Amino acid sequence: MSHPYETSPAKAFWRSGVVETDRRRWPEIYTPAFPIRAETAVATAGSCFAQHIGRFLRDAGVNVLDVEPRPEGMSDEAAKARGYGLYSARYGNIYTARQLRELLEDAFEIYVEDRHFLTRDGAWFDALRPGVEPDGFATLEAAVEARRAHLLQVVELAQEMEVFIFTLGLTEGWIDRETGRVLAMAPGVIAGDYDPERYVFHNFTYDEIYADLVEIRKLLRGINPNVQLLLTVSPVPLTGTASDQHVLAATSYSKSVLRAVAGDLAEAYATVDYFPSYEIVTTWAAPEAAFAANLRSVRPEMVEGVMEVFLTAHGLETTGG
Amino acid sequence: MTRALLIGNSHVGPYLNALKHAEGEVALDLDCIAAFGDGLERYTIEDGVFCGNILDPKVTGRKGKGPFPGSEVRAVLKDYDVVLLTGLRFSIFQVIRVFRDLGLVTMDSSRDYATAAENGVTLVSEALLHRLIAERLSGSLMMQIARDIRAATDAPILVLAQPRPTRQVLVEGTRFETFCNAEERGEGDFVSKTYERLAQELCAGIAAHYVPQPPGTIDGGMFTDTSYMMGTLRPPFWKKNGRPVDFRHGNARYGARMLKHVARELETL
Amino acid sequence: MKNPYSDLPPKAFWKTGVVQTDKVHWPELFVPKFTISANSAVATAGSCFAQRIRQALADEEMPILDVEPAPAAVEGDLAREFGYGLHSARYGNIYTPRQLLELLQDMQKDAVHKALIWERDGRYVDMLRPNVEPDGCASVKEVLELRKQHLARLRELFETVDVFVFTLGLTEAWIHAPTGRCLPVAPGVIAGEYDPKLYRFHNFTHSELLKDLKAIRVLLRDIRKGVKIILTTSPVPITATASGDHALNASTYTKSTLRSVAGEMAMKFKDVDYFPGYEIVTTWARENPAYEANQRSIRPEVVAHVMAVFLDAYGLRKTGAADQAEPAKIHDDAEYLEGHDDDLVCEEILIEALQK
Repeated sequence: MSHPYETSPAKAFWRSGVVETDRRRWPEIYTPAFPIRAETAVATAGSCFAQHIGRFLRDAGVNVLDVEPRPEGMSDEAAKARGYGLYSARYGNIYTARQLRELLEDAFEIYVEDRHFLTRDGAWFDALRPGVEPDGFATLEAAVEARRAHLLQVVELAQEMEVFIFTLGLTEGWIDRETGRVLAMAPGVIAGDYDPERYVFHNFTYDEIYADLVEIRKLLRGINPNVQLLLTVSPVPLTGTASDQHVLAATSYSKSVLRAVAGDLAEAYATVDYFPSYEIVTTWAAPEAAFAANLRSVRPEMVEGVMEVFLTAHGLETTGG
Repeated sequence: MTRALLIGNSHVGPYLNALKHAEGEVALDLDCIAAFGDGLERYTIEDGVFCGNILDPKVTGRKGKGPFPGSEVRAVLKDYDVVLLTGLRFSIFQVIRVFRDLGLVTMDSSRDYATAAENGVTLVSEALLHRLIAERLSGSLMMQIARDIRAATDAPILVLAQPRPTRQVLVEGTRFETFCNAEERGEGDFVSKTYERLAQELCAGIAAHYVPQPPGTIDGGMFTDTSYMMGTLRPPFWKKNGRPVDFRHGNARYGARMLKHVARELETL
Repeated sequence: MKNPYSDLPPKAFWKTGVVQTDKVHWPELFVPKFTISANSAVATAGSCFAQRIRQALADEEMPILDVEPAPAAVEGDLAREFGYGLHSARYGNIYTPRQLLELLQDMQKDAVHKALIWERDGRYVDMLRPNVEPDGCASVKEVLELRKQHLARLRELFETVDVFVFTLGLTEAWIHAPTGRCLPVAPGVIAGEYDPKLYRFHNFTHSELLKDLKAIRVLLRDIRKGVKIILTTSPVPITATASGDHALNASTYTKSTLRSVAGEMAMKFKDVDYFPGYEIVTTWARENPAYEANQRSIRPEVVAHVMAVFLDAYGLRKTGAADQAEPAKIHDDAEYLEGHDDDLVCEEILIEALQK
């Protein structure tokens, strides 16, 4: 009897690919769709986990772009608090695909409007990236100007990048009914007040996220035809959910949707790749605990292990941490 | 003269009686170990010796399990040219129940789903039915003994067909629902043939030979012609309405016919 | 400063809902949308894990429908081997929604298909449920008539069902190209020969699965007004992938896609619920391992806990069996590497035996 698994390699079977394999190095788990070399201009964005990727790539000598570097003389701590050096530009954490799409749309039109700014104690905050100026701006004009400058840098980034690494973080988001825009954070967490009339919860569906990512790819390739997209899914669970579900179910739903979308895009486009950091971290087959005691933060050793898989697959030097 | 060891239950009766009444006609030097019902269930085979370990009802008070008249206690297997087995729950009685609500597409009464549904029969695969029958027959005391003897001696083993019942099973008072059901569906012949075929296969599977019931003794597929069961010399008689009734044990005539087949079988071995 | 998370209950936060919660009973993890009473007629179908659900419900003396029970005298291993008592009908394992949808469509049309039969040494195997007749059938006619009976029984099932529990198992499937039909198992695993011209691999996407599940829902409601559907995702990883990907990636993709589709169905329809057994088993936030050393079979006490969460949510648990299920000792030896699925009938696992 002949069957279609006759010629399948060892990696195709759960037993040989998972149970009996080296579950730290995960041989053959990742075969890059396109190479990343030291000289490749890489841009990173996404949820918190994307920060690790940028850091490790930089340490491995990869040309990780930073179009908004920190001002001379600023301390590490201050820089981090202001969103410098976290990603390739100072957009802060981008948790949803919709948020990235809207950022790119704004950038390519240098579009800023007053309604995207919130006040707290007399200071003005950019609702689309409130985390990068913890103290806010003194005036609305200053805040608007800072955003305009940021958008210009994002355009430059989009033109320079060869590979764009985007880590998908959440499906849950808050939409400002007045502007129709998705916020970086729930209203009232950093600035603004939660007004249920104005802000609505939205749990992005597979179709919406897929469409957003397709649009993101189109936007980027519109000004930079050769850009390639590398997707990952953040393994970090939700801190809280507004979905009315239990947080365990809500997290699982969120991550599952993101993982499914990422997989389908990588399947659909030759210039979209998926790196399986999510599965390496979250699998029950992990040889050691992947998460710290809070069951949320990925342990540094695990991040290192995952990044080693990534760098090795690209033939990049691993620094060993 | 062929030395034969006959092991069984009350169904050894026809052979013992046939030999008694037909002295000299059959060239068989027969020893018998038999008990009523499953009285042989405690048998042992040690160092080539088959021991019946039959309970004595006079001692135990358990009826229907005692030694059959004429039974030996033990036998040295290598002293025999052939071992004959019969009864011991290797019979159509063990499988007829299986057919009760089931049908195969090869049976006329369930030739397709619509017909089966009309007759209130559930269709099953032939494979399942065969497995089920094989399971029941394989678990019989007969098959256990046959397998153990096969392991202990190289002598041929012949399994002698226990006769089908007479039509008496259709009659009020001695009625067997399962036989009635098969008869009503017109599947008596099919059921019997299926049984015979599987019995043969199972025996072949353990290197034994099945000697089927002679066609001339069969009545309408599923039954034995009454003349082969009338006046059985099997003691004790089952009395019903003051008349001896036995519709499930062959008589000396049946035994004699079967023994002819045995003789023929032995020539070919 | 008010924010929308200020007034949320403890279950909404990772810290209180997961880190600090009782990770055996998982309070508030599952809040059913609709009730199941002790008299509700429940039917189950799906991948091998669905057998576990059926068993747990049967243990609680729920009236689990079985329209094709084992005939009298067919018991124990023989019954299981021939696909009796595993699900609510003798459809075998249904791994993909497409497979279920096509089965329901066949049922509606009383359609049986000569083209969907494998021949193996003079025996005939129903491609759509090859595992329920392990010895194959004696003739094409036998396959077709048994299938007609199966479809008739299915109609009875879906005409009486109140709650249909469907466990999603796989996205990867093999399609019989000439008929376009989705098969439960790859050709050549149980029977048939793999011919790339006759069979093609398909990995169902989110959109396809969603469409199929919606169609299933419409069909079921057409037959039985008011029927409720509970979806679950099997936590059992795939045995092998034909996607070209690594098994871990492929398995994660598959389960993620199924989980997201199930979630979306439950969000969209009032009469569809999702039971998060999958997350209880697969989460890293566990105190004891959920899987055996083969990393695939789920430890019996974990299954018991999962089902206790299900039954408790409906107030259906009569016995304390799940509470009493002590965490078993952790096995590491080769015997356990083989897994503990002996009591499940799972053709998908057969692929492992074929690995060279």
